Amino acid sequence: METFLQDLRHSARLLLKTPGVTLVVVISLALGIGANTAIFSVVNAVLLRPLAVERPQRLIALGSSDSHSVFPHGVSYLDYQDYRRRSEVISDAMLFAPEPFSLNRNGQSERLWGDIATENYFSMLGVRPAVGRFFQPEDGSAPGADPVVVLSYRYWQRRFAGDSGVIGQAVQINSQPFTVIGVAPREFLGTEIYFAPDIWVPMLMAEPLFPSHPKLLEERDAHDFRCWARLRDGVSIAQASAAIATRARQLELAYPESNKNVKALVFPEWEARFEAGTGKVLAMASAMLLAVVVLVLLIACANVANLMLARATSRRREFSIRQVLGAGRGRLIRQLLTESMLMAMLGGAAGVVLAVWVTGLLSSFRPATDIPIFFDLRPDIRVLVFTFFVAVLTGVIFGLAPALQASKPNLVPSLKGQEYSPRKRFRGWTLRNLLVVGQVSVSLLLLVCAGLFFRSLQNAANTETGFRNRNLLLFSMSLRQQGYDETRGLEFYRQFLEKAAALPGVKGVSLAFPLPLDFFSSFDDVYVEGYQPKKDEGKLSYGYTAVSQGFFVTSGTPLLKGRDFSSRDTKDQPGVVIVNETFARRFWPGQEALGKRIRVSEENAPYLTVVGLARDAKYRNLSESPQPYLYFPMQQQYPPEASFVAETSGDPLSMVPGIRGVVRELDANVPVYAVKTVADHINGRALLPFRIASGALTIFGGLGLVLAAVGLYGVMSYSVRLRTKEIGIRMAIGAQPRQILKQVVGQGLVLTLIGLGIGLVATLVATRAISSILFGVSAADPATFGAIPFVLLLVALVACYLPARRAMKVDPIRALRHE
Amino acid sequence: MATGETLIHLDGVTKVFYTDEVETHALAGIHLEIRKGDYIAIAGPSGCGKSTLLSILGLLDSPTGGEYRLKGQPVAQLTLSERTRIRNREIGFVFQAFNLIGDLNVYENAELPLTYRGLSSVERKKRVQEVLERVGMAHRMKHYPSQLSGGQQQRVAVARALVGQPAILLADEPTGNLDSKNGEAVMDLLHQLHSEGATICMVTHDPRYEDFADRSVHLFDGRVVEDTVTSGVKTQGVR
Repeated sequence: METFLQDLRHSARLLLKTPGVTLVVVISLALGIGANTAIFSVVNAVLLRPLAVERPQRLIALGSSDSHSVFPHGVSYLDYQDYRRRSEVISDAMLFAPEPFSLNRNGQSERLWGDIATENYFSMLGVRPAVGRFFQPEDGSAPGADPVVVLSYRYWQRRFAGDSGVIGQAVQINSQPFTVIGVAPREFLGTEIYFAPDIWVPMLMAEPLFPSHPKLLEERDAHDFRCWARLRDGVSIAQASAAIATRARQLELAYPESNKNVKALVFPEWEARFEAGTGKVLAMASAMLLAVVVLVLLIACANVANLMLARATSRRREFSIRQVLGAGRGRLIRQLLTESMLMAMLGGAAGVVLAVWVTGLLSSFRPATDIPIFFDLRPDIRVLVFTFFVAVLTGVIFGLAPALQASKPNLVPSLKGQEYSPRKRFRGWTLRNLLVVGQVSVSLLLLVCAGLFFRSLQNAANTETGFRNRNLLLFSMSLRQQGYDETRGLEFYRQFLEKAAALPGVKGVSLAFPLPLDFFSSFDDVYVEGYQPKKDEGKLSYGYTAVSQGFFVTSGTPLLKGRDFSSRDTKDQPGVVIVNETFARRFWPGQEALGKRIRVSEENAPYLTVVGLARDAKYRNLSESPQPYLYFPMQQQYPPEASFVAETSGDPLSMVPGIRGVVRELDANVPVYAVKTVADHINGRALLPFRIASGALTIFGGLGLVLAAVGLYGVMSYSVRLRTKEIGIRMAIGAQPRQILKQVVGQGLVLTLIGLGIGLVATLVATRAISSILFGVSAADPATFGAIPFVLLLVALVACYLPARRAMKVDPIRALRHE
Repeated sequence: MATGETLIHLDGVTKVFYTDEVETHALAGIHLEIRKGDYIAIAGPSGCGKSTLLSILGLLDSPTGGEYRLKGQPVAQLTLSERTRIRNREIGFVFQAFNLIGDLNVYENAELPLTYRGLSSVERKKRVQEVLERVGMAHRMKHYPSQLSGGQQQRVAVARALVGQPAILLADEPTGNLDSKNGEAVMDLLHQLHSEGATICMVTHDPRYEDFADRSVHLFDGRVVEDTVTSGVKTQGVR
């Protein structure tokens, strides 16, 4: 311990003695380690950090699947009750669903999001209230009889300033009277890592809260709820999966109408934190991101190792003296590793500071939606432990090679201050060169990936989405919580459209719900007249949007044939529908689609006649293949909330105050939210994956490029310093400065070219792995593969030129005296 | 002063350096015996093999042929760590270029061999203070080498060589980087140490300093050509 402290003291003294080198090392490491810590903070929040509940490892999420959707669905209330009842594998289960609410207190209303949850939600999770109480079994005893609400800690602080007197107070939720009974603990943010509900209300209050869906809890095929369960002690997930699958088969037999082909899915808690079934995708994305930042860290390590090698060379005599005095090789390596560890710890500490800043920025990111998306990315003890180990590993990686080399000096020449023998010098020089070659290769890999995603982003941004790409204003409003029934709601929409269209600067208005490419979408079962689904097809289910008259003109999705919906397409008139090209091609190839008939939701529902054919658009994401899609008239398929779409003659956002005024004039309590331009809409959801990938890779690739350039500069500088005498001799015997320049720059460029060659091969192999997530660009895109190496070569040229210029200025007389 | 106990025994030691296609015979069959309490000066012209011989004696280098016994034990088969341990315990080095560590102060430089030996800090402190007082550098304990004159640096180097109480002190041109006044002072110090019982083997090319030793070994082209006892007894061309 004493000798360790001695080494530590000596190391600290050395670092202070060369503040420039220390600073470069600490900054390089801080960037590398900071990038790793930041990404690990995200991975920690998404996959690793257990929920703030009792024994989270014993929790499972239940979902369901059917034959016509690749994504898992939720569970219906009735199925949940059957799974929960008499189960030998789960001790309890609860159900919840995120919903928007309107909360009114003292006459002031606000729109917020919360969970509608079964009465055992908190008790099943094992969460204790911070203030008051949670739901009790009797709170769920009768539908609509328990108007109680639990507040989240954040909401309690924000809205009620943490006043404990709030317990027992009355509030109105969706115009219904409720009593506040408790506040959730600070650390409990719900069960989903991105969605932090503000309130929780009992599931059995669904009917009065959502009068437009009165039978929500009575429909066995309403797979709209998220279901979590707790495993009994000693039961594994596999055993639970098997038992629940058996139960699902029993339900299928008992309820063939609603549960045909419905299979139960069981996920461990970590796989369901985002949404059931997304865990593995997230794990893969996390692994890719971590791989990228590990590459950045390796580049940083190579830089530092190069500096350490140079420094170790200049300290050869010191190491020789120590060995002469009795320091064994292990002792010297230990001392050198103490030095590198100290630097790594400093870099790690700076990296944590950097990561806190970066994760703060990431946490403040708000997509264009009113859903309270909140990622708690603050570094916790797990992140700090990770950073500590990364720093230790980093210290070993960049410290070991220099330590091994420096601890094996040629004692006698070192003590006399002589240089290494040519053979040894060549070996040391080669290791430094290898590090630079590696840096260039890895930088190329990162930058090419960044380039490919950037090109994907460009292509995606230029894709025909179905929306006109400018002068379009979008926002949402909800009548769901204001007690509007269908008649009043439709009247509200009619008046609103009339008044909004009259505003100056507005060229056209319409309403739609849900908007294509939004954060959520609607699907319904479809029965096409004359089409018999094949055996393995199961039910046909397709996405749809309910639209008002004028949607196709204002949004920019052209109608290719037929007519738009009109004010005459009301509920008491024959049902009508507009289909897209892919739908028509799918069911009526080579035939006229207009006049064909379909049914939706139920097999015996009234027929809807196709009155129009719309051009294909993008509905869920930009890289999707053409999907069958339907449009219903709002008057026949009333949505209690709607998105407003307005074509404007000027800046769309300048219209916002006028349009808000129209809503206020009609009903001041109707919340307006998610106000955005069409660019925000596309960027918010559809382009988000490309923007994240391109942004992250550009940052990390740029970081890699800078570090590689610094590494190359360092190696060339060191080479020039080592060869000062040689350069002096060359100049003394007549070498021109430009010949020296050519020699130095040439040496650096050879390294760069070797790095580029190796990097190109590695990149061609690596980019094949991401080819499926690129958009409109080949994984071997010639433009990217041509441009990036060229940029790298230019940067290398600059990095080599600076030391070369110094070499050109060597004074032969002074150089010949150089030691 | 020699007590008759043999410390070092060299029998036909050779050293050949191979560089590319050139073979250089630095030592060509050296026979030498050093007894406890000896003060030997190894002299000869530049390139005669003096420093190579000293490096082999100090276990910094290995002979190509012949046998080297230290305290009766052959050293040829010693591992690297055994050689390091013997250097730490049995041999004290004084170099022409002082070879102090610039980042350590006088105290820390002198302490270094004891640190590597694993002695307690109390014991180290006691010994370092003693030895620095002995060489007259106790008042400069907190100074760094760059704050000292050449003569003072060499005194610290001698202190560092002595602190581990080695069996033999090997000095390679200890006055080579010093002016005559400081050189004399260092030689006086070595003389005093020898009179107190230290065994010293010193390489020098300066005839004035040969006389400080009580035995002078002359090398030429890697061979011992003269082994003189400065008390007046002289043997020529030993083997």
